[in-house]
Amino acid sequence: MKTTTHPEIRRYLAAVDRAASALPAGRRKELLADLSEHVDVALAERPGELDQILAELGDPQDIAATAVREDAEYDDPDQRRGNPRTVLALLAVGSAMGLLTAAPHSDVLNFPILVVTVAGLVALAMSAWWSTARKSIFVAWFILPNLLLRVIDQAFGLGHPVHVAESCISVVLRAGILVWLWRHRVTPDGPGRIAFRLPRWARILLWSLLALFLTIEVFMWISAFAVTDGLSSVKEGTLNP
Amino acid sequence: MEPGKTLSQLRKGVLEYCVLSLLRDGPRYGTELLGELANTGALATSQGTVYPLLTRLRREELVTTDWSESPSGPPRRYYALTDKGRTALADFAVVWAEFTQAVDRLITPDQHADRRAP
Repeated sequence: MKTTTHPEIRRYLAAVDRAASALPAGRRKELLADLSEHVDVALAERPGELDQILAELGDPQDIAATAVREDAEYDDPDQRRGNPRTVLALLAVGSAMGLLTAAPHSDVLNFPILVVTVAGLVALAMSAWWSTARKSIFVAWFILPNLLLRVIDQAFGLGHPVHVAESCISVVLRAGILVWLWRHRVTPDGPGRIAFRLPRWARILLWSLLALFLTIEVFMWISAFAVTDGLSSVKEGTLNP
Repeated sequence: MEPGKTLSQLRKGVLEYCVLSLLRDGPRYGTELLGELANTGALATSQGTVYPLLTRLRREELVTTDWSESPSGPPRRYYALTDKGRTALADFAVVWAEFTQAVDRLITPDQHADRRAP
């Protein structure tokens, strides 16, 4: 580029670059590109007035400070913490996985269900889309009926048909309360997000732990199937010689 | 508060709508836009501070940008108003009119005197 060859412009842009170090790298590059483009065009229109052009552009510190402020002000609705779609998806997936526990070899699912559900509840707690009262109502309806049914089950040791009925009731309740939660979301005003962001290293660590965990889970699940299939074929063999 | 500071704070809030207004009649490129902004007196700070604002307006999809070759000099990036930007500008015009009327009523001494008068 032409501007980068002129030492005075280069010095100016470097000053902006230094002052804007708080800005994410992509944003900073974009700002520098905008400014160098401005100088290019302005110089083509008013050749020889470089000093004047740079003076009009203003103090690098001012520009950098404005850029940092604008970047903080920009509020991408999809980037808001506790996006309702994420919250609902996590909780719905957790509940759907809970249904599968009726199937054989389902013990491996207990931990993923716990993780997904807890993640959903944490996302809900941090979300700016629901009032605290609504969150409490939701959590109560989400957890208590299931807990109650489980306690009754444990206490009376009820048989299979009751078990099925219980599952049906809890599915209907879960679905109902999830629909309620979705309907009662309210778009937060302005920058509605909760200013909470883990540092970069912590995010990387968390995501890699999650990826590792999922890999292990899937692996265990597959191997559990393999082992029990092996066992059942052995049994069949002994039963029907 | 000194008058200069008051004015600069007032300008800061309405600057983005001044930018959108300047784009109402058609796309403009960066230096052209900044030149006009400086002429209207709406620009409180240096020209360079408008670029971060333009970036935000683009991310909020109120404006779009498009490169265009120029007969003389380097290609220019033109900023144009989107439908969303047009709506935001129209909304602001309504809010601004109501707001200035309300403030006018408050700060004009005559009208207060009228109310108190029998």
